[in-house]
Amino acid sequence: MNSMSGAALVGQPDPAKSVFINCPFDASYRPLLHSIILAIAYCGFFPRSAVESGDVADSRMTRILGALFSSQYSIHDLSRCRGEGSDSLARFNMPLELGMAIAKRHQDRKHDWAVLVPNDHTYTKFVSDLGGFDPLTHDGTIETVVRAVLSWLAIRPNALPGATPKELLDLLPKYEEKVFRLTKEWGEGSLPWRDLVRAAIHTVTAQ
Amino acid sequence: MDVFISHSLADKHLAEVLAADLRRRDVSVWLDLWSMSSGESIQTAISRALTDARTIILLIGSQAPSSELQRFEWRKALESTWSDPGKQLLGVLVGTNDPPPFLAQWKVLKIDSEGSAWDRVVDELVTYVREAKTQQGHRHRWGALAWKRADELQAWANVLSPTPQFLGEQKQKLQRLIREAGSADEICDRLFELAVVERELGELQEARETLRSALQISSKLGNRQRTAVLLVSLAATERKLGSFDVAISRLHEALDLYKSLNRSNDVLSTLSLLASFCRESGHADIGKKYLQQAIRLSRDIGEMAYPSTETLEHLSQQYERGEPDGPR
Repeated sequence: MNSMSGAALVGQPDPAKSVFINCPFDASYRPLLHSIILAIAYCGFFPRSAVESGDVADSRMTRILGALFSSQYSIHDLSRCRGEGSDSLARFNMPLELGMAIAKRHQDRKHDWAVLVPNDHTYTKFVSDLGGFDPLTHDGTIETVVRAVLSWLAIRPNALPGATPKELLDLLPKYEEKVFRLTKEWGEGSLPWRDLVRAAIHTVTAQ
Repeated sequence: MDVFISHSLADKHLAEVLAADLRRRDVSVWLDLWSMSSGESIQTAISRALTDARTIILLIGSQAPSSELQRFEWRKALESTWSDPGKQLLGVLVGTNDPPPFLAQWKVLKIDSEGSAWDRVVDELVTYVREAKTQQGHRHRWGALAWKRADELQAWANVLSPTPQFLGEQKQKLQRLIREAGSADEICDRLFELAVVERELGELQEARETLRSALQISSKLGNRQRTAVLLVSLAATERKLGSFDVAISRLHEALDLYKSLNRSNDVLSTLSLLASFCRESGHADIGKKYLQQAIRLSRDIGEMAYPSTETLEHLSQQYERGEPDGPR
């Protein structure tokens, strides 16, 4: 389901090569978000998000479903799902979106999801239903996130061959410099998703 | 151990025949059907065996990997080649299918579904397995496919861009939603969205006024985080309009708010923008001071600093050389 008509956007990426990202968008997670966006483009896929262009009249849930359901793959990072602040409240948006992806997979088998979790196994306490699945683990560093995402995507039938974490990590500073330039143009909070993706595509195709 | 054999459930029999033939030729083999010990989790056992094996043979039948377990093996096999450059993957393809792309840089041997070339393939496998003890696999170039996909990726670069007609419609909708909004919070959020649409339409003056209105509401509501985001967005708009002094002043206000919120990466990002804006407006010396502050802070934050120390040091070098800041 996607409320965007054909006339709304210049074009839509191929759903079979689209990867929906479900992760925190705050500044402290930004280096990991950028490494995931770049890893997806580097493997020959198109990063999608709930914050990409959409109809302003649509609810956030509709936008999430629109982007998620037009992506064959999705990556969900639950590593920040823990109590925050004086009330120790956890944010449940990410597990909620993971649930939508699992439901889509169950419904039509056309969707494949991966979940990123901390490698200390705490996830088994807060999402015990994931027991029996094989989550991708990372220790919060860029290198471990890149390895996890690359190895999951690189084995897909429509992935670009020859992906290595080293080459990707070498590209990351070049991508970040492009993003910094965009931030000057837009400010952090209003930087369009498509520009983040475009910068990633330009970084990986300029090799 | 010489060889790990990865296979699907459908190719179980073939995997056993291959393992037996390799053993007859003095190649040591790990096969789940023979090598699993009781009490150990299957993922743990597979991960250990993949680490130990010098060569990983991926037996690929007529169907793509259907099980979670086979995908797990492929993923771990690939990761193990990244950790150990001396390890090699060998594909054995049954039937006429193409190998999966990640094997494009590795040797892939083909057998037909009747297995008529079986002995030759096993002999060849043994040769490659023995070579792996002295060489680094059989990686080869995969250029043509990569360039084709790079073209495809570039063609995607402009998708998701809204058309001017769509943006015009969005602007009207937002103006209506603002009129109908039930709370100041909602008005503030919608004004921010409207400013983005106006920026997209190239209506910078309107975007500036919209952001100022949003800022007033946000300040009254006491939402410091949102106010800081609006200030940075307004600063970027002022910069586009050539009002550098106002832009820098807005960034200072945002910086104070981010500091009061202890948001170190936002402080760092704002300091970096201040450095860049000061430089662009002809105050290079002040810009350098902000950049040095940013570099110190990024070192304190470490790997999760954004922008990273590497990016900031690169900017610093560009400043020293009198070059415009931008991607290398």
